[in-house]
Amino acid sequence: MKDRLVVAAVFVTIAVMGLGAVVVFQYGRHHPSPPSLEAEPNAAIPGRIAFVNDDRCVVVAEASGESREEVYCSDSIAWVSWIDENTLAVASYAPGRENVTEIDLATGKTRETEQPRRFKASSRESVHGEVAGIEYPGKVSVSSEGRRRVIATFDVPENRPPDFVTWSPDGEWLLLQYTGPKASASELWIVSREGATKGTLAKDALGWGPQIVSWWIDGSGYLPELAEEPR
Amino acid sequence: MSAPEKHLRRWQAAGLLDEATAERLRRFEAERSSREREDRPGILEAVVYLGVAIVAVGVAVLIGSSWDELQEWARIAVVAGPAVAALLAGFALRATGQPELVRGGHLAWLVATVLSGVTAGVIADMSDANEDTVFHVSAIVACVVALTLWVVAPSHIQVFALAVALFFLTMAAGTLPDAFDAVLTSLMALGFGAAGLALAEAGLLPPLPTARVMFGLLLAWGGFFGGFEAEWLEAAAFVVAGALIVVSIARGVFVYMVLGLLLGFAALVRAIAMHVEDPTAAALALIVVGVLIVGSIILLARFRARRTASAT
Repeated sequence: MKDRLVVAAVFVTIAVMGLGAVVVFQYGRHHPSPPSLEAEPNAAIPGRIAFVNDDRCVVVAEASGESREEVYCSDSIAWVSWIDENTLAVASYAPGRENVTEIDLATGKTRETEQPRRFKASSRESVHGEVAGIEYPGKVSVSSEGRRRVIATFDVPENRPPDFVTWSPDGEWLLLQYTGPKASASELWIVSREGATKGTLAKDALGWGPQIVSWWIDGSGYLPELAEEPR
Repeated sequence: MSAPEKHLRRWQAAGLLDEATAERLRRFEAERSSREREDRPGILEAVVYLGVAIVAVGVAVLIGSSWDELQEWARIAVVAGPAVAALLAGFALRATGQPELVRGGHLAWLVATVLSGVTAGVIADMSDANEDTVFHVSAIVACVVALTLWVVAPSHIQVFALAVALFFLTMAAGTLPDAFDAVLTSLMALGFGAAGLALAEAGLLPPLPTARVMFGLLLAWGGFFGGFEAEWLEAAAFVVAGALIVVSIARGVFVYMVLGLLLGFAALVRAIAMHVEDPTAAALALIVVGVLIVGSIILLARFRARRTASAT
């Protein structure tokens, strides 16, 4: 029996050393997320961002990270977009079409629109004419007038770069979406166009790309754009 | 008349064997054949295996057909109940002392080991753990149960269960990083395989034949698998293959020779497939591999003949 306990101890030691080394030294683990804006709000980031979280609810958050609020929930949200400073449009899947509900944020009232509008893919070009790019493995670049500069590098796993979502309507910030390898939800990252400021706005966004996010800044409007013509 | 009895009578008739010695030989042969009969699977053992198989199939069908309708406690109970039952059945069968039922008990313990891992996984899943964590918990619990049962009563089946559980633990280790890491899995398998073989050869990990096969397989797999991700582990496959062949010759163990040669050839074929782009060079390389295969067969045959000769 003593010999067998020695054998058991050898196997347990190998397992503990192997698994322990991975856990302690975080071998193969990546921590690319910028600091949380919810924990440390940054007043320099303007406007409000509406996004869909993994509970299928539309959340309106101050882009600075100062506050956030769930305003509408539906299991079949297709896209969300600002219409004006107090109104959100939320499209839901329905057989053969999309139903669009407009939400008045001041009163909380909702109404179905008669002429649903169509979501338009976000543009990588800002209002300043700068073009955002994502490069392997986790570099974010901005190009203008033939010159490209890397503004941020994130420690992401191989083949897991963040995705570009949209420029801010004033062209000063980029909104990125990142889904970790074992995460069920996505993160929304905000990066200033010079790369000096970075923050994580949310860690519970749906991973569906730009159609689940919309950024409003007073005086600049919203992005991504909605197409004016109905579907 | 049995074959030994025929020989004994012939040797006595020829005056080569006196009556007392012949009688001792008869008693020895009678005891030996009695032990052999006990070691052979009998009808009781077959019925035990059948019962264990029926329970296992029943659990699988029950889980498959009604899993979605079961409440959480029922999901845990439907796997934990049979796990405990198999564990207790193993102890009960072992307590009979009859070799065939004792072996049946070890098989019941193998089922208990599998179901323990599944139970732990189900509980982890109920706790909203992600699928990697479920896998980690299952593998760790299966290892703990397999190792404990082997410590309580080492048998061929328990060594098999232990090696397989350790294999799953190496796979679980590979999922600890953000992306599956074949190198980590490989290194863990190399560690467990080498330790298992060293302990087996030192006489600490009985039964020896199964330990040699299972931990030899674990070591060979560890040497091979990581080479798909890291070039330096491609070379490690050849090193492990060479080591197995050397140990085989030094210890006179045929199974190490087979494993070493299989690993060497698998590593060679992979190296050609991954690094030789020119079809002509690849063809020539394959011819070389073919010649090596034939050569190794001859080597194996000579090695086995020499072992047989030295044994007689």
